Amino acid sequence: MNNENWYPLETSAKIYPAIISPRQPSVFRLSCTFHNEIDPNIMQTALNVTMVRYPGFSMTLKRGAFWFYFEEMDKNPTLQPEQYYPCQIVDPEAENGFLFRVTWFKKRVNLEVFHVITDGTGGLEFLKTLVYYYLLLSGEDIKPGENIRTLRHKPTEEERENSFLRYYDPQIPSDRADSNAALHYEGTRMPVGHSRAIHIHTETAPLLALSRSCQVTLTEYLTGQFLRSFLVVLKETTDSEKPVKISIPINLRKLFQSDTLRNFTYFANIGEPVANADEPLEKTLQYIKTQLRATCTREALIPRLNPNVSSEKNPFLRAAPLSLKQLVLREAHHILGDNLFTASFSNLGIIRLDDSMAKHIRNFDFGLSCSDLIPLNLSMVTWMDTAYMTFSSIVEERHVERIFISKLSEAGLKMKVWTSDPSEAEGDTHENLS
Amino acid sequence: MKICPECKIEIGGTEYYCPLCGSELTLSDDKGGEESLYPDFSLPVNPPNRFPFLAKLFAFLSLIAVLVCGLIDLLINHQLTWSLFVIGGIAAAWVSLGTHLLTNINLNYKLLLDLCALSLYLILIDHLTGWHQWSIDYVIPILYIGVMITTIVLALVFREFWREYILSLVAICVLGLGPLLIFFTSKSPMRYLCLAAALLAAALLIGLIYFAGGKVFSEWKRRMNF
Repeated sequence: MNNENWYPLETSAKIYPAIISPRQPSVFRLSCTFHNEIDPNIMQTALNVTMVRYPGFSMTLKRGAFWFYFEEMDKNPTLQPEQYYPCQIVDPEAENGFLFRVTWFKKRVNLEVFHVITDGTGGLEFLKTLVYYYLLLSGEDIKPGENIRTLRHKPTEEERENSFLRYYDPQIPSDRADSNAALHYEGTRMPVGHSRAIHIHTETAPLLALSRSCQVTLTEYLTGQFLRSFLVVLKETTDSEKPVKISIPINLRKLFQSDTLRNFTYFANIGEPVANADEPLEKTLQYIKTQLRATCTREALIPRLNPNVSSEKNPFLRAAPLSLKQLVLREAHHILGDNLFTASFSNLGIIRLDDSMAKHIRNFDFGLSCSDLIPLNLSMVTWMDTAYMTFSSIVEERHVERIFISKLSEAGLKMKVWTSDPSEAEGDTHENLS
Repeated sequence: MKICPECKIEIGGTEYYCPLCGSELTLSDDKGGEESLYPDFSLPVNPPNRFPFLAKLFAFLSLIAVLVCGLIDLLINHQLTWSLFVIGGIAAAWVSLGTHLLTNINLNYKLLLDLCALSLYLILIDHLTGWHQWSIDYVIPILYIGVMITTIVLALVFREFWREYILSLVAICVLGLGPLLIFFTSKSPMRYLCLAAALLAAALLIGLIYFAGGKVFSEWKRRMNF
C-alpha cells in the first residue's frame, strides 16, 4: 500500500460527502453470524489480510479545490466491539481516516460502510473475503470456491473503475425519469444516534411459490407488499395525491459488464397514490412488474444514467470551488434525491459460498441507514434457502412493519421476528404501538 | 419459543412483548429465552461544537461594537474616521483568531491568512495616520519573511505530512509578488527590504521545484483535479 495511489470519486459517489451528517449517515451494514463465538484477534488479522485484497477500502476522503478525492492510507482499521446503534454515521475523523467500520458482537461480525466507497454488492465482496480469511486463520479446512476474491489474484484496474463513465454515451439524449415528489412517512423521531432493526426470517421456497402464483418475481412481490403497507398506514393520515414510492436499487453489473468494486447502481422509484390503497394486491403487483421490467434494460437505463455523468462533465460545474459545489449538491439532493421516494427496498440477492465455508455460518444480514425524510427502509439477503429481511427505522412507531408482517402472515408465510430494540417489561408503554 | 398471540408470529431474542404490537408474548414450550442479538447500545461521543457559545458571544459583541462605533463616528464627524480603527481591528481579529480557533484547516494556511489580515489592517492604520508608508516599507516585508520562515520550519519538522504543506509553500512564493510590486512602485530607500523578501520567495520556489518538483506536481494534480 502506498499513498501515491489516488483517484477521483465515481459519478454516484460524489453526492455522499455533500449530504452526510449524523441525521443522514448514508451507511449500509452487512453482517455475518457464525455458529461459534468470534475470536477478535483472529478477526483482526483476517481484516488486515482482507485490506490488502481491497485497496479501495484503504482510502480516505481528502478535499481538493474542486472535488473530493480518495487517497490511499498506509494503515489498517481496528476491529471494534459493537457498541453503537446500527447504521450510524461513519465519520472519518472518528474512524482514523477510514470510511467504514468493522465491529463484532458474540457470534456476529458487522461491516458498516459509508456509501461513498461502494454499494451493497461491493461491500458483500469484502465481507465474503473477510469471512473466508477468518475461517482459514481459525484453522478450519475450507476452500474459497469460485465466488470469493482472495489474495491469489491481485486487485485489478477493472475493480476500481468508474463504470458510469465507461457506459456514458453523450449521443443518447438524457431522460431524467420521473421527478415527482413522493409522500413521506413521518413518525416520532428517535434521538439522533438511535435506530432500530427488526429482522424477519422466513423460508424462501414458500415466498417464491407465492410470488410465482402472482406471476411476479420475489423482489416485485415484496415491493408490492411493502408499498401496500405504506398505503394502508398513510391513508389514515392524509389524502394527498402525492404517490408513495419505493426506491429499488438495481445492480447495474447485471446489465452492463463490469467488475467494479465501487458504486454502480441505479435507483428506480416506483409508486402509487394513497387513493389506490383499497385496490387488490394483484393490480399493484402488475403495475410494479410493468414499471420495473421496463426500467431494467440497457436501452432504458443509459438515458437515465447520462444526466449524472454529463453534470459531472459540465465545465461550469467543474470550475466551481468545492465548498460551493457542496452547497449546491445538498440542495439538489433535497429536491432530486430523498424527496422523490418514501422508502427503499434493497434486495442484495442470494449469497452463495462453498459448502466447506457455509457449514460454519448461521446467516447473513443486510441493513440500511435512514434519514429525516426516509425514516424506514427494508432490505434483504437470501442465505441457504432462507430470506433474511431487515426493517431499519429511526421512528418509534412500527405500524408499517406490523402491517407488512401481517400481510405476509395472511398469505401463509411462517416467520420469525427479532429486534435490536428490546421492549421494557411494563405493559402500558406499548399502548401507542397498536 | 415465544409467540405473539395477535400477530401470530414467532419472536426471537429476549423479548417479553411483541416488538410490533406490544402484546405480551406466550411461551409455547419450556425452552428458555434465546440470547439477545445486540449489545447494550451507547452513543458516539459528539465532536466539539464548531461554533461554541463563546464564539457566538464574541460575534455578537463584535457586531454591537462595530455598529455603535460606526454610528457615533457618523453622528459626530459625518464620516467614518476613528471608528475604522475599531472596525478594521475587529475584522482582522476575526479573520485571524477566528480561523485559528474555529476551523481546522492547515496551520500554514492559517498563517497566510494572518499575514494577509494583519497586513491589510496595518495598511489601513497607516492610511488613517497620514500615509507615512511604514506599513509597506517595513511591516509587510518583515511579516512576510517571518511567515515564510515559519512555514519552512513547519514543513521541515513535519516532513512526513509534506502533502499538507507543499502547496501552501508554493502559495507563499506566489504571494512574494506583493513585496515585488512594492519594490517597483515605492520610492522609499527601504524598498530593498521588499526586494529581499521577493528574492527569498523566488529562491524558495526554485528550491521547491528543483528538489521536490515531482511531489509538487503530484499534489497539485490531486488537489486541483478538475
